Amino acid sequence: MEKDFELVKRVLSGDRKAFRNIIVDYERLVNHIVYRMIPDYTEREDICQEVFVKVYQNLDKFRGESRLSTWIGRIAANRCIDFLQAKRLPLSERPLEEIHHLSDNNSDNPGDSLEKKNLGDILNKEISRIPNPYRTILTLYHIDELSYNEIGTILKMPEGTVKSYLFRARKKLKEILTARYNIEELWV
Amino acid sequence: MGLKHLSEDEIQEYLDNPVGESSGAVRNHLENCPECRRVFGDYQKLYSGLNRDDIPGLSVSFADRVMTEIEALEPVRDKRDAWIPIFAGSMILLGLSAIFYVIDFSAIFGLLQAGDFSEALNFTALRKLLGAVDIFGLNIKTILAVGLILLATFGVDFAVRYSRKKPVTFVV
Repeated sequence: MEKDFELVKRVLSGDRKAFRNIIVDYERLVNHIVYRMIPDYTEREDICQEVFVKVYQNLDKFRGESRLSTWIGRIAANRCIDFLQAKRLPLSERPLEEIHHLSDNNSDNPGDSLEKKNLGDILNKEISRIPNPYRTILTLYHIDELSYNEIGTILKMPEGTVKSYLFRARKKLKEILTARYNIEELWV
Repeated sequence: MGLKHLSEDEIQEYLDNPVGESSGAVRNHLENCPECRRVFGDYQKLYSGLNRDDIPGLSVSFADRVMTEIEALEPVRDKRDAWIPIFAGSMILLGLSAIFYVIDFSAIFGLLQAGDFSEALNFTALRKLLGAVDIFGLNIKTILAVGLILLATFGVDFAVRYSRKKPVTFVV
């Protein structure tokens, strides 16, 4: 918190190098949000860049009502929403309940998955198949270790909704993994 | 939580917060229920996978790319409390104007030029002002001047306090 405070103060007093530290500290978080919210990964880095330019231009509006990470995360999520709207892509895809264990034509067959046994690859693929905001919430909670409140601030939803979405997403993911893969083999 | 199986929400709740209120009951149940232990095991595996960061990172030159773009922009300045120095400055200016308006500097300079330093240092105008107070002949000009001088004093005080204040305040 104190580090955030010092960085913001230095940038606002004209120290641009301090902004580089902000980029280094939060590029991972921004990348995770953009990666999960925008299906077209080819534009991911450009969008992340736009997010940080916007952060720089609006740093004087930072009121300290939340952590700097949450504030930057919110800017990233808003930029993704703008991007999706501009491309006329849906903000949220099909409902979670419509994701079936075995009906996806693009899914691997169980034999393939057994050969891979790469938990990271398999999970990443399965998470990308579940709709938003479920996959973003999963990533922000498990990888970025944000609280329900922080995730809610970033995605503009109540804490209770974040928790409910997170539980449903994990339940669905577990169902998919147990139905599609040999879970005992998968986790070796 | 004895005979009834744990719900998946209860299992997730426990994994999210193993020291929560009902964690003891969940632990006890898991020790005695193989079925719930199996589901719990699946979730444990899922959690271990979810906690891994397998998302492809940005390019190593990402920060440099952003900084190159930032260099082309105007430096960002703290505009949040910009009105404070403007307000304080205006008050100081108003106060100074009032001083010049009330005090007859030409008379003082005249006395100084004539070599009458003792009289000049006697603050002719101030005596004039106090004289007006003495006879309760307070006219609008005097009241206005005193008010504006006080305003200038507050302005200076405000400016001093602002300059000592941290520009950013974090609220958790």
